[in-house]
Amino acid sequence: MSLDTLSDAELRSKLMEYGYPVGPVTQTTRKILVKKLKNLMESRSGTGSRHSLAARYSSEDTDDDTSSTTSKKKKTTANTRRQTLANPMPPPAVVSSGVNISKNPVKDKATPSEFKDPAAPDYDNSLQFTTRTITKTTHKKYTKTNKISTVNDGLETGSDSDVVEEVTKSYSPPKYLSSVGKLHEPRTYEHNISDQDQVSKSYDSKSRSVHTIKDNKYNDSLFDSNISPIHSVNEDACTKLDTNQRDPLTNYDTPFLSEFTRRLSSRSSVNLPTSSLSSLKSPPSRFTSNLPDLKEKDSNGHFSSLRSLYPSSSSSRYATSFTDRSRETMNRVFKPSSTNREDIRNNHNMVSVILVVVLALFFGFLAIIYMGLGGKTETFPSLSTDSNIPLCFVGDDREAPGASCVMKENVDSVLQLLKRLQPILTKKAVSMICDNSSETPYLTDSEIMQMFTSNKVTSLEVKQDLQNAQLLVIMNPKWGISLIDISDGNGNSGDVLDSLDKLFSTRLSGKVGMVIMNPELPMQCLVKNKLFTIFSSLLIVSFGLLAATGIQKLFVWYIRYKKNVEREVFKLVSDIINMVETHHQNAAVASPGGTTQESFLAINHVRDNLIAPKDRKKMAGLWEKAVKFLDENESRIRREVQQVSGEEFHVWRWLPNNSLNKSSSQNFVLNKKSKVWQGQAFETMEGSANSLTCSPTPCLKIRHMFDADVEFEDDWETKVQDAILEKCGEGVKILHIRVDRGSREGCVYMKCMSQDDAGKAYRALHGCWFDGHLVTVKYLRLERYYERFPDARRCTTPLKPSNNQRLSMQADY
Amino acid sequence: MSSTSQKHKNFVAEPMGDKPVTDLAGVGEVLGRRLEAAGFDKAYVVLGQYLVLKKDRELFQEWMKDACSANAKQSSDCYQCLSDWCEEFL
Repeated sequence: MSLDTLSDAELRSKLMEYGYPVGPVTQTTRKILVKKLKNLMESRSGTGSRHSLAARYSSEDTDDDTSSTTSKKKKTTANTRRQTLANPMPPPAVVSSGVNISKNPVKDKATPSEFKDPAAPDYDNSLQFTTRTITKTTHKKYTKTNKISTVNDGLETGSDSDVVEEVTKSYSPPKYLSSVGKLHEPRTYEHNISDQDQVSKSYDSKSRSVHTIKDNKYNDSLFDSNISPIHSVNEDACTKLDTNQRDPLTNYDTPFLSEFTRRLSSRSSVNLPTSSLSSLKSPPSRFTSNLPDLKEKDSNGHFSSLRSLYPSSSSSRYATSFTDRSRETMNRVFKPSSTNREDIRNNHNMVSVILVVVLALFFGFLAIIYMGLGGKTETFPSLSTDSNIPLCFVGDDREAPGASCVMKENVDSVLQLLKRLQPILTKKAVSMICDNSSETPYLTDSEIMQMFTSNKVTSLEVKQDLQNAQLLVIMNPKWGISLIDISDGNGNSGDVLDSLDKLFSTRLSGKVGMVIMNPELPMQCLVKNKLFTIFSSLLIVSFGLLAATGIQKLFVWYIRYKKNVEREVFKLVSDIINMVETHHQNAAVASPGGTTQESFLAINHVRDNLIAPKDRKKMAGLWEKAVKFLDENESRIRREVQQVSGEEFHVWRWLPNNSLNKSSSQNFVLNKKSKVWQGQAFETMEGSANSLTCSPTPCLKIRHMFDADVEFEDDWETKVQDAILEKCGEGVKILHIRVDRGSREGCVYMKCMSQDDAGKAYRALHGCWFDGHLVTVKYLRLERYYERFPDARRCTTPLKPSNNQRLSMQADY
Repeated sequence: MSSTSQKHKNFVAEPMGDKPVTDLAGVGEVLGRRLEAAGFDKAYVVLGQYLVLKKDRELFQEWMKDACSANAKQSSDCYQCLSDWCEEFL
């Protein structure tokens, strides 16, 4: 409310205090600024949020712990139950701190430094742990040792020892329980903070103060009369109930312990050990020897070392189970993750391997199928069983042996002959197909007879067998052997004899050949044939493609050539026109009287002027074309025959034109000189009002570089770009230029290598006259530039002008 | 940001001249009426406010909310519109 009554100036200064960039405080802005100030003040005062956060965190932790302890409690023995009855406070505390320790390595694995030095807290807990386990075996009088343990336990010791003392006196009044529960909270809170390595001095003091306040309250409310203030009690406890356990505490003092604990431990270390417990007598040297383990490893090592320390204690079961559980959880936490990772990697491998295997299987399958198809027809040797063999019967005289039937006693020899014939024929056929050998693929009767006639077998017998064989061959077409007529000389194209009549007729002329038409080819040969066909087809296709591309290239080249020629011709024509016109003007200037005597030019003379002598032969065709074009299409030039120096020449005369014509021609001339820089309109050197001292961005927007409605040339964009590049010069590295064709203002956007370059370009371009326009330059934000030209991101090489003639810089101003 | 409204484009395309406040992106009829009632009848008056608030987005949006109870989208549009215009013409 007080904020609303502030004056404008006060409000402003207040805001400044908070480091907020304030503008003027006016009627309209005042409200907003007041609101802002309120916000700022609130947020500033609420910086203690970390504190509360930590508290919340610790409370969550304790929740977890208590839940785990409840589950554990069920497993504890009756002893412990009695113990918890007698002293309800310590067990949850002990267990919770132990659980804390076991949990922390998992939680804080990322910051192992935490675990290297807090030997003292760990140590505390271990002490607690051991003492507690001992109390189980002993009787009530060992509440003292219990006290010891809790005294060792850092800050909370004060309250605990109090508690215990009270317990010994009054044996747990019910009221007491609730207060203890309350007390328990700040303690775990403090503990957690020290665990998490966030301890600072202020924190320590804060938590301590809280703690003591609580203690005081507790004292006041419950034991107001007989108990002195907390400190004295603590000291009493320390001096009375001290053991040798205290010594290590001083040795492993760390910043995690509060001042209070330090004082406690220093005090206690003076005193002599009075404990009667044997197992508690563990000398400090043992602890020290075990501590490296602690430092090296996480809670696993820690607890295992503990176990080795107290192997004989009756409560070791608890300890072992506890350590085992912690180890179990550790393993459970870490192992699955590692195995998971391995599994994932394996899975990746497996997938690729499976893919390869499947591919290999597929191709193998294909190959097997192919082979199977190839090796299918091997039926010939098993002739006799399923063959169609017409046997001659003795009593039947319609049939003549050798003509339409075979004598039974001959069948065997005939089949023998066929069997011997077949490989020969196959070989011949294969060699014919695969090796392109010139020998004929067939065997004639005489050849076969020569082959098989020996001293054992007469040629007559062979001939008879052969005839029978041929008969059988005709009857059994599935054998794959064919009989052909080779009368035309080249056996390949001979007719196939498929009936007995034909066979007989050709046999008379002795022109019967046996051949295997479709022999089973060997793999090598098949592959060779296939490859050959593939390559030949490839060759044909590639030739076709080559031809097509060649034609296309030729076509393109022709088009380009034609265009080139056209351009050359036009250039020549315009040169001619210029020349003739200037000549005409010169003549007009020289003799204003209007004598047309000199206002023509001999064609040859023009040609000789325009074309260098070495090019004249080459350009003759072009010249002819230009002349023809002029004759046909140029109305301002007339071709006529005039006498020059007594010789008749074809000449060109520039026809006198009216004023309109003249101005247009002058415009033309003017246009030719466009796209040049025409000078500086105002100063943009460094320090002047028109230039910023440092350029904010590397991107520029240049306006009024062109007038899109007037541009007519094909390459005006390039010219504009060149003009900018030339004007900026070599020193400025420009990465990206884009002419905005559609813009009304003639905008050109460009991006420089750096902001310095942009500054140079800015100074070079801003306020210049270009092509009759005053160019203005502005900086653009880089994000907006990228938004507009996403491809500009990839530009990394400085641009160069398209030519090095510096055309745009040649204005004579 | 990537897609801006037609109104935004129109406003950013040219100098604002004497445009009414309703030409600002994000300011419709209703907001326009409220702004006029608060004395902001022209776009350049809003621009003035924008400038006086030092182009601060937070403050400007807060002000929009305050002056004509604009929602976040409207005030953000208006802010974007003015900041783009300033970038172009200021």
